[in-house]
Amino acid sequence: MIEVKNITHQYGKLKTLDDVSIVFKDQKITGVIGANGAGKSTLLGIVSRLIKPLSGTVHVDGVNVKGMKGHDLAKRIAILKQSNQVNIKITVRELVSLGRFPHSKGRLTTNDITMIDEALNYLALEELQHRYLDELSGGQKQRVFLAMILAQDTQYILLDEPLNNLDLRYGIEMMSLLRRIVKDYGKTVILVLHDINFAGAFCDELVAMKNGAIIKVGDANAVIVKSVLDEVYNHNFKVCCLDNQQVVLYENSDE
Amino acid sequence: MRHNVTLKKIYLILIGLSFLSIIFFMSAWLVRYYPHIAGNMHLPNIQKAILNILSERTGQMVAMIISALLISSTSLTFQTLTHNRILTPASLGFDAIFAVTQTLLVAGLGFVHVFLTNVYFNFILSSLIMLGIILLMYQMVLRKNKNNIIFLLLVGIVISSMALSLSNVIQSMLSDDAFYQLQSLTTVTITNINRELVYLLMPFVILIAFLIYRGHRTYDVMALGESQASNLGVNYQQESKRALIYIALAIAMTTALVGPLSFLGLLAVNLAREITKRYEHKHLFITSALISIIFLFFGQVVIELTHYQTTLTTVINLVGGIYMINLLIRKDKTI
Repeated sequence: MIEVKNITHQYGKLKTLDDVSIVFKDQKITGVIGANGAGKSTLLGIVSRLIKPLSGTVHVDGVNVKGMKGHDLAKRIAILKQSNQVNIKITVRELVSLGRFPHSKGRLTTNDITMIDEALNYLALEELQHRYLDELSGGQKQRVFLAMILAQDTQYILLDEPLNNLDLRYGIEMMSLLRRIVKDYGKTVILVLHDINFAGAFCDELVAMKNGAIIKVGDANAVIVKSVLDEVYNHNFKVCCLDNQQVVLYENSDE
Repeated sequence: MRHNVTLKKIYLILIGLSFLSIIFFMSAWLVRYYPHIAGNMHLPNIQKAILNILSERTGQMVAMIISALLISSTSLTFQTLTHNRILTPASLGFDAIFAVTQTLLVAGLGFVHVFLTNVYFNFILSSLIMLGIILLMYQMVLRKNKNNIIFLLLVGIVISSMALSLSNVIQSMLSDDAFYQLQSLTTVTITNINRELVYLLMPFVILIAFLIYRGHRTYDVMALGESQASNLGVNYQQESKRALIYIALAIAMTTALVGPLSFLGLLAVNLAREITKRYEHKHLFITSALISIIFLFFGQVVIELTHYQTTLTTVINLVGGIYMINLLIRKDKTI
């Protein structure tokens, strides 16, 4: 369980997170939504310790993240940032193998190799495993990074805008994959999303943020309601229910 | 598996070429002196002269191997830290800092001061000063800008042009004797290497090379970028600071030994990447060191056979410069 307590964070004078507290539920997909600058990525960064908060604490499985050693935390939480510009000549298999670094420090054991094979197999990357990363398409690359995170074998997987630069097909594929991972391995996934309909279709829980504060937490159908979304995005949304799922449409103000 | 066979082949060829180049270097003087030696081998003073040449050659050989090792490993590590394949530690202004350190010492202490004329004192002093400057730069720039190495490079460019102008100004005020003393300190070449310093440095070099090599697995992860490396549990800030200290020490040593050879690292590391097509620092460290050795020794042989018309530094910088332009205009930018 990840518990965030009274986190405050500032960039210069700009408060990006203001006394944020939240508990992320285990073995669920939690989507964080909100406008640009709402503090979504910062929250993810603080949970994964990439960013240091001004005040407040993050507990993972009851242990304060602050006192944890880097490689211990890396065995529990994995984070994938939105830009993964890797400009070294590395093959798919080699990159996925680096996911085992927190466990093996680069000296792969037979157990590590089993985990790597499993991750490659799970994401259907066996055919591509000896190709160089720069030869792959955006969607394939994203899958490779997910395989690396899977090989890292952490209970918690944080993804910062994983659907960026992916077309609809790859986006749906990615989200279905994450659902499968949660179901098959019992992992906890927390991700930042911009497309509310994607969030509604694939997430168990949603967190809506605005100006560094959490506006609403709940299951998808409780968060995707007109009153919440209008406040979060300052827009006059049309929200309707289709096959038991809340769907969002935008207003064309010219009309 | 084909992967491994080619790598093995590359290692064998590079090791073979390195040995060949070293053997060529150790026997190149024969071409020149053969007429004097032929038929006179029984003369005691000729035997003595040969022994002298051999021991001088051995010193030069050790110095060149040391430099090859340090230059290639620091360039590789530096490229990993900056995520850029056309930078070398010289871009941080190390060479210029070395020059200005020597100039200030000559101007400040007087050219006959023991700190200058004694190679050990001079070496230790200039190494410490260089280390101090790089740590100061780190403290001032990296801490505040959260590991912004690009900013550090800009500072490096400013510092190196400032340092060079400063040393030019001071040099114009020096007396003739002091100026020549300074020239002999700053224009070090392999031919006028200081043999005592070479053997003194050996243990330090082995230590530094070992420390850099030991981090090869961590550097593999750091090459993925700061956020990926942190995700995999690497303390990026601490590791890059440590690597910068090793680089500063290694550059101080090589610059004092064989003078600035910045393009050699660029050349060797990039060729190593191209030949091996691997990302692991383990392989890149070894292959780039071997390539540096081949370039240094063959280059020196060519220069000797052309009767020292030019210096090795000039030749390497020329070849390295052409290669760098080639790198810049090529389309494929992946390392």
